[in-house]
Amino acid sequence: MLLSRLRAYLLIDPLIIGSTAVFGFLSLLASTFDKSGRTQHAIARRWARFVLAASGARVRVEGLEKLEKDASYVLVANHSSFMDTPVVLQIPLQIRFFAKQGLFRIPLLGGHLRRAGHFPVARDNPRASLKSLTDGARLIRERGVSVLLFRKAAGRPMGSASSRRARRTWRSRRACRRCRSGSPARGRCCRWDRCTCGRMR
Amino acid sequence: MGSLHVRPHAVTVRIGDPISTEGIKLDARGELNQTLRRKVAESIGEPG
Repeated sequence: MLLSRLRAYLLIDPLIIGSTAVFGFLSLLASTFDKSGRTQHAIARRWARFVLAASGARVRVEGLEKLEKDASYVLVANHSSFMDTPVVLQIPLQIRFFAKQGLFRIPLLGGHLRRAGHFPVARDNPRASLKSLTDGARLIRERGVSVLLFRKAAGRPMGSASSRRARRTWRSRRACRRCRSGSPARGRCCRWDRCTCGRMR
Repeated sequence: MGSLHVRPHAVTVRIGDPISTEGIKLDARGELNQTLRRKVAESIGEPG
């Protein structure tokens, strides 16, 4: 166990961080002449292969025959690890991600994500998320790319108690939004701690 | 999730059957969401 941790912290993690910096820089350079995002995607796939090789992950993709080569898809994946991104990049499609908005606020990374054609999702702002989804739909139509989003309740195994709790929380949050717009669902919103409806607390 | 302790592992990506959205109206998005959730749960062997 100690050896495994030492190998991770002293070898694998620096390799992942270093390669992310190098490939990220190359991708930034590529974004200056390729506005379609295809070169950045090719670089991202090379980065993903390097990261998986460095970490010793052996990835097998099942069901590729279900995908048509020239079709566009909305892919939805469960999300339980930081390694999910390099893993899903092994799917041979032109994938653009819906990623949480916080990532787009990180200097360099945020600009890079935007230039590569990925979309921010503001999880607490449905109106802004709707705009991202509309942009994603437009990109699918115009450029024939596929988009990927990781499903909600990230990191919790589906069906687990924590997952059920997350779904309940999501329902309360949704009810709370209705409350803000004045719908009769008001009574259910008071349990949601982000509720801005002062009277219900 | 979130650990820096990376360990070598075998990973399988399973691509499920595509869910057609042809002819689906906006009102049916909840149903589509449930179908999607159920299919993902089935593919990873978890109850939906």
